[in-house]
Amino acid sequence: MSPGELKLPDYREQLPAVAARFERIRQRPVILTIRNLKKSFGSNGGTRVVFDHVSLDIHRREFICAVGPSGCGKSTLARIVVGLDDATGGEVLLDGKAVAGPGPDRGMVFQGYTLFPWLTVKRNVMFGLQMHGKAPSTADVEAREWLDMVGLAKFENSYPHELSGGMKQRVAIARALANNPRILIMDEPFAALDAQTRCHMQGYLMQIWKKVDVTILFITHDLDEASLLADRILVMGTNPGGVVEFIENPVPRPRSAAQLISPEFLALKKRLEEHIHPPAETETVEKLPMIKLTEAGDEVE
Amino acid sequence: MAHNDWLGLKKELPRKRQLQLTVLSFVLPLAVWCFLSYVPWVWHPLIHVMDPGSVDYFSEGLDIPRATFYAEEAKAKAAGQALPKGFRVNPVYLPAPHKVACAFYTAFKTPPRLQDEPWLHQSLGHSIRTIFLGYLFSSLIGVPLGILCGSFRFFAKVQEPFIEFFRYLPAPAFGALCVAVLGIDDAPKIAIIFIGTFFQQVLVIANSVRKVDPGLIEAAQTLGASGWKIVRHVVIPASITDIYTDMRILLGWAWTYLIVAEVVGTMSGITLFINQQARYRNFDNVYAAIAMIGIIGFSTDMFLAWVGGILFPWKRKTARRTRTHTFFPLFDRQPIKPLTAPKLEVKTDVAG
Repeated sequence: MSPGELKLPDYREQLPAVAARFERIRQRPVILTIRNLKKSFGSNGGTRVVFDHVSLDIHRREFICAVGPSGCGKSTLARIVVGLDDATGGEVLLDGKAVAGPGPDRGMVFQGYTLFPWLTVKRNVMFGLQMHGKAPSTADVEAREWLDMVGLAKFENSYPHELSGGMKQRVAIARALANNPRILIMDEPFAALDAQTRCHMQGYLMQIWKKVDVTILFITHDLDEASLLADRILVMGTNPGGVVEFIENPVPRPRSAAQLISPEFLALKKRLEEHIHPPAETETVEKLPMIKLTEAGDEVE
Repeated sequence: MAHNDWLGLKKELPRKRQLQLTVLSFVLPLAVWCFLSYVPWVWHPLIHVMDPGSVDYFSEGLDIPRATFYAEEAKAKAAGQALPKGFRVNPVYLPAPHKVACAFYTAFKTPPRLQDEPWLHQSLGHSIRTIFLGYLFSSLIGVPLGILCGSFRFFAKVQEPFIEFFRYLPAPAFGALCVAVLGIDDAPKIAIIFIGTFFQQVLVIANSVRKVDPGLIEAAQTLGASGWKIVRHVVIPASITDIYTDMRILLGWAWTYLIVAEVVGTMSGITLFINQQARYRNFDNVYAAIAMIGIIGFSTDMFLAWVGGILFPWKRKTARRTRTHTFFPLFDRQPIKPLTAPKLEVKTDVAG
């Protein structure tokens, strides 16, 4: 241990309340099962295995975050679960039934909003409902309720281009939830937002998750975000690609920004950092052959 | 922002200036034309003979090249005979602007020289009808086919290579064939416009449809849409504004094929009018008729742009760099200001 480093508890130590909560979660039925999932790209000889042997269970109303270095295939995993990509091997079961192709039982929120620009906010939310043949009047009422819940009732008749990024993403969440999906998959949904808005969106998402019976699989590269939101954190790695660790988040709920410096949080963060940026790797940042380009005599370091 | 900066690179100009420049773009060529026509010592290569004097082959009303006129004048002067008189004019094929302006009115009022010849408005009506029918038939097949080719690889592969080949065949080359098959009246003319438009239309629209953001299609899939429902509810609405712009551009192409089409079989429409007026050397009428085509085409396009703004309200802010805007700022609505979010109470404790 280097000087100045905090003495942190083990990230696996849980307060009794936290342990009890995980016990309760384990009692709940399993919504999503992934068994031996494998994905590889490429043909004519050279194939690249993105990940292999990915197996996990997600319980009802659990909040799962998937983190990992870029290229570990966390987005690909999300797309396979949603059905937009095909797995090379293994299977994905929703409520015990294998999934094939996209369907309304698995909602998706994309990083790029993907709202339909030609529809008003309300009609965007109504889209999925109408695809299932719901009467326009019913869909209209339900869409309003969902917009009310994400706090955008006033904007029901606006077009997406009139909204800010955060508001667009709230509409996208309402649109996905309006279908009553069993699981909501969110692929780096807040990555395009500024830090302030992202923080607000995390708050909104927690409030929504509390009110709606939905299981969430949340892909992110932001370790703080994962630690603040997740029940369990799926850490994925590269070479070989796959699950490195599936960590139970020791930070007690309800969560707040104040917990960002709590011992549990820091212990978890340290563990995640070790996985994502292993110590050996950080040493190898090359020293660049820098020519001095300044003439002023301000030697900063 | 500096307001006196007319030449800001890629910078939007204030609306007033855009309007001024639009007017200027029409005024400039008109000014050049006026300069050539009304300033007597500019160009004016001919001399209009008023009085032939002693030159035997001159006659009143004849236009003679300046050099010849001056040579004959000098000869007459040397011989002490009566001098020819005249004034400098431009050739008959460059009438002055006011003459063309008059022709705009008189061409409609002047009855045709022969009994069975059409009036100008009848000629124009005939041409518009030909264009409309050719373009309508082309669109009736071309637009659905383009959307199919853009949406499904199957249709793209089974149709596009042949269309790609066919579009290189110049439409006028089919003139004789069309007359042989369809007779000499309007049918072959409509067919020429169809051939000229259709193949481009399929390819251009298929291309616009292919540019639809795949993210939107994926989003629709995760919301439970599939197959034809995606084409109907996502692909078509997502590309409809681009298709609409394509259609406007293609309508311009249809007009360029009109003149070729109208000489096929019996000459008809505005082409017949232009040819006859040229034969009678009424060049002011010829210019008026040509300008008429421009005015009809341009105003149709502006009208369609305006209709587009009504049909596609979600494009009002984003479509700032379309042709409407650069072409004619009058028809571009004021952008809608982005709304600001209401201050929602964001609780700091993120509970779960």
